[in-house]
Amino acid sequence: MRREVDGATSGVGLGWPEVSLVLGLDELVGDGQVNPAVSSEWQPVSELLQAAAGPASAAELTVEYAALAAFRRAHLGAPTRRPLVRPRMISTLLTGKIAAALACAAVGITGAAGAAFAGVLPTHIQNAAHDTIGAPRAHHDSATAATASHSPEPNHSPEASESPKASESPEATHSAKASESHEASESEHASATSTASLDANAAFGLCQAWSNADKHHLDGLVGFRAKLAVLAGGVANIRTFCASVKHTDGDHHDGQLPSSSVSPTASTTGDAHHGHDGHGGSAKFPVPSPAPQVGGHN
Amino acid sequence: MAASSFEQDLSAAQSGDEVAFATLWRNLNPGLVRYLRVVAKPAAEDVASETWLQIIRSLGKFRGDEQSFRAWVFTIARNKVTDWRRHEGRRPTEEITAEHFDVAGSDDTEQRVLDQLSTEGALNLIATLPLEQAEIIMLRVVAGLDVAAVAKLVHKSEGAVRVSCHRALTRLRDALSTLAAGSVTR
Repeated sequence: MRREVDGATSGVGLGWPEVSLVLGLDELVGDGQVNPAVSSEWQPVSELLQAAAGPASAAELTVEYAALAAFRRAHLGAPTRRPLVRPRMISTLLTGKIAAALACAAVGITGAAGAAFAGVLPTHIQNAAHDTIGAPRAHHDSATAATASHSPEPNHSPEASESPKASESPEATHSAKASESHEASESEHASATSTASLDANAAFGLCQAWSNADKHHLDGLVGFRAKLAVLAGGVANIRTFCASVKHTDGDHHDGQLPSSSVSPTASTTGDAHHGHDGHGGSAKFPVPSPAPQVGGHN
Repeated sequence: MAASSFEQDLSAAQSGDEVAFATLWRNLNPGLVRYLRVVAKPAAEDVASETWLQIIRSLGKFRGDEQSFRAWVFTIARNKVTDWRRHEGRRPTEEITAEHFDVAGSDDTEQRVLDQLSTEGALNLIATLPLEQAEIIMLRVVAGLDVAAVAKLVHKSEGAVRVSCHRALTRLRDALSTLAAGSVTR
């Protein structure tokens, strides 16, 4: 490090009255050596100044790369208007935030689409989803399970009608125990049919969402993946399972079959729809069939 | 007459030569950072970065020798410090204590003070001076500027710079004596 000091201030009596009593800066800082001529009174000051101007430490040279980067950018014509170190940090943070936002948006959209196809959104939102992305129209009743409770079954089990997931509820278990009676059997049949239809719709929606997520390699991020894996009997079976799931169209909750002109998937929805009228017989999923046409809903 | 090493480096750096610029940076940055640690300690690194960005932007327009270049660099740094101080307030002053040197008492305490006078300790002690005196000491001793350059930089007469420098040296001498005496009596 350069420590050249003007000779005009060095030495005794060089236009600096007070310094005439002591040594000048040149004598105090010298050339990195303590000047033997410095009196013992000023020797500590001399050493202090030499220490202040000592050799560069490694820490003082660590940001050379940043200075060179700024120099390089300037000569490449890029603007250099921020502190040397901060741009890298900011760009790193922004990159991470943007990536996280995109991932969240993708998962959110996929999840919303899944909910729409599952038919579990509030009525006005579900109808909006129907108009925009082809999701099933909302049922007029507050719950899909109400389809079963509205069926003309005089001895309908209230436990079954209150539980969309009859097979998972204690009430359903209780109903199953009473299956010896004809009424109980019919009630259970209605409940099972309703549940099957609902689960078919839900599974179809989940499969639609999973398919979209899979296309964008986000299937590992979606929250419903575990549920879909349960329905499919394992993660490895999701693809096969979804290929076999059919959609039951919520537009025809009044029990009438859809006409084939409603949509390209009319035949699929028609098959599934039998469950809603309570006379369709077997559950509607999983029934091996061609993969549902997502584009048909769009 | 052959160009000096500095002139060659400056010319090459102005043409975009990174190695030449790195040489200039290595010669100046340690003194620049030490100066800033005394006059703008909390923001020394940031102000140093701002200073170098300004230097890089204006390097092509500079004309002069090494002394002029040093004065130019520290003038930019001082302007950046002024901007920073305008936003952050004035530099607080500190009392000189033995903690600046981390010296334990002993029979030969004065010698121990001198032996342990690292660059860090020296800068800490200089930073306890009044700001004007501390700045002038740093510009004269660490930046290596002559009295005329320092006077121009701090907008004072050369005589005023000399007086401030002498007062600073006297304060440092007294502080070191007091420090050594205090350590002996502990």
